[in-house]
Amino acid sequence: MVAMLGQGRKLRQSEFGDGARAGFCLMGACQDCWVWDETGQRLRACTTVVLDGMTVRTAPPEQYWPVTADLQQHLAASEAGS
Amino acid sequence: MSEPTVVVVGTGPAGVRAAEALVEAGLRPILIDEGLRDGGQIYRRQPEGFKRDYAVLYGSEASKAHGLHQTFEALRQHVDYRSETLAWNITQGHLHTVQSSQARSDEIAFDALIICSGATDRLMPVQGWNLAGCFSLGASQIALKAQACSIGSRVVFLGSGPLLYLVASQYVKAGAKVVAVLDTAPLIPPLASLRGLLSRPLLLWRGLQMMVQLKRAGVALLKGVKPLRIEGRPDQGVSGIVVTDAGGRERQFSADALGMGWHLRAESQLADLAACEFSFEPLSRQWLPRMDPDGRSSQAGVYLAGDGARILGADGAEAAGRLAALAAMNDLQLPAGRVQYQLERDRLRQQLAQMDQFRQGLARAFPWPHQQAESLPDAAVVCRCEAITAGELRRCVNELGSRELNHVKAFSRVGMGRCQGRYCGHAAAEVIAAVAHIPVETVGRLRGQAPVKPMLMNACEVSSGAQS
Repeated sequence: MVAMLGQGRKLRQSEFGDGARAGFCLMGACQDCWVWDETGQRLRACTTVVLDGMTVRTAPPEQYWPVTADLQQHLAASEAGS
Repeated sequence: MSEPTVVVVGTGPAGVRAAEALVEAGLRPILIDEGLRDGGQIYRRQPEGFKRDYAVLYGSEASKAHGLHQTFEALRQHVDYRSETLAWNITQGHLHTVQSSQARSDEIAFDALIICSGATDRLMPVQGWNLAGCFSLGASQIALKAQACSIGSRVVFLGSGPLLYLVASQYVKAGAKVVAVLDTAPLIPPLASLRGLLSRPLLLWRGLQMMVQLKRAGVALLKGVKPLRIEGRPDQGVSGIVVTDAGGRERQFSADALGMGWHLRAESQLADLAACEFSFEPLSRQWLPRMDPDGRSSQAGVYLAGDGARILGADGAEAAGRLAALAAMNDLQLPAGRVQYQLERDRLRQQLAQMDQFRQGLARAFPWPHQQAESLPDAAVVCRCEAITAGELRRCVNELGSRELNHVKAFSRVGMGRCQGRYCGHAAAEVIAAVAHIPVETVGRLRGQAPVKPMLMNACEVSSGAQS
């Protein structure tokens, strides 16, 4: 979060049309600092440590359903079954 | 008899002292910590690789912070420590947890559960507080403590309570530009607050010193202010704040960041999910879980300590954590715990009673500004998560006949957003009470819901897999 706010004043847009947001509580309670990684996995910026080569999205990907490992398995299994 | 399973939630001052008492009596408790490292929020540890020393990080509380961290290090191999783990639900003697980095879920059957869940800032909305650049006072302090950053290059602090002055003076000390400290508390504290404040003279002295230092550093220090609006543009963020001062004059301060908060709000969701009874405390105007002086909740086997139950601050949390653990062991009929409980009970109770006196003094001198809810403009956002305005809440009362907070929640979604009412719940209740002309306690409180924080749906599935 600090890495992002060091570059600008906002993290994301409010989904309810009231403008830009930049987090609020910094202790993992308000959930105002949500950003997303490349796979669509949601990150709480204030409790996420920045890593070398990390890509962060400030908006969710269009198809916003993170495909987790177990979901992938489940989908593969149901495809195989059909 | 096999060793009982005692679970402690939280590794702040209350949790660590509770764990210490348990280990002393020969138990191996499970310690659940949502954070990456122990310390909680108050004695939050800086990330690995940061090298500021304790005096710089924790100031006058350096030795306490050091003591607590050292205690934890010594306990580490005697406890089952689970960091980055969220306790998200409680059902019939079971605590449900999810570990974020490994997506691991557990259902822990406990004989005793000690909830030391801490607190968050308590917020009263001000028009414009949803602009980027508004942070809580706690957030302002965390930015400094954890990351050595200021929330902005020209900062205004607004609110009331000890944290307001503490954070402002920490910012000044760190070299940040603090434009103003705006306190909503009355200019002259009520006489009734003095008795409480004098019960911890050293703390009172330190507070007064802080105010003098802030003045000397050229910070505008205003008491008795009424916040009118936070200025700025939705795409640009905060640019300033307008208040009326104690004399009724309008004052404007330019700033690119604002830290705000009014004391703390207990994180009491887990106690709620454990079906603990709550009662309304008129002085602070908040609902708190009911408990006896030793931390026993209304539910057998569930104990409460620290700011998650009573806002006594870090010193109070250390005493309460220890006492709750001793009470738990006494109730579990563990001989070592029993003896220690008899030995220390009276002293710890006395300590807590004194701290509670001080807390009451603070609550009177720096009151929760519930009147602000009444004058909040209709267009002001109350719920930051979903941008629900004061006008919308008033409509629920005036047009839909709501008189109860969960009822208004069902109509308006207030408290239903991603923070689950942590930052709007108290204020929404005040808005409803004011417009309906009823006492705020009759408006009720938002019921705690599992999961207490957002998590992935598949966490539950992983749980059933892990069990099999």
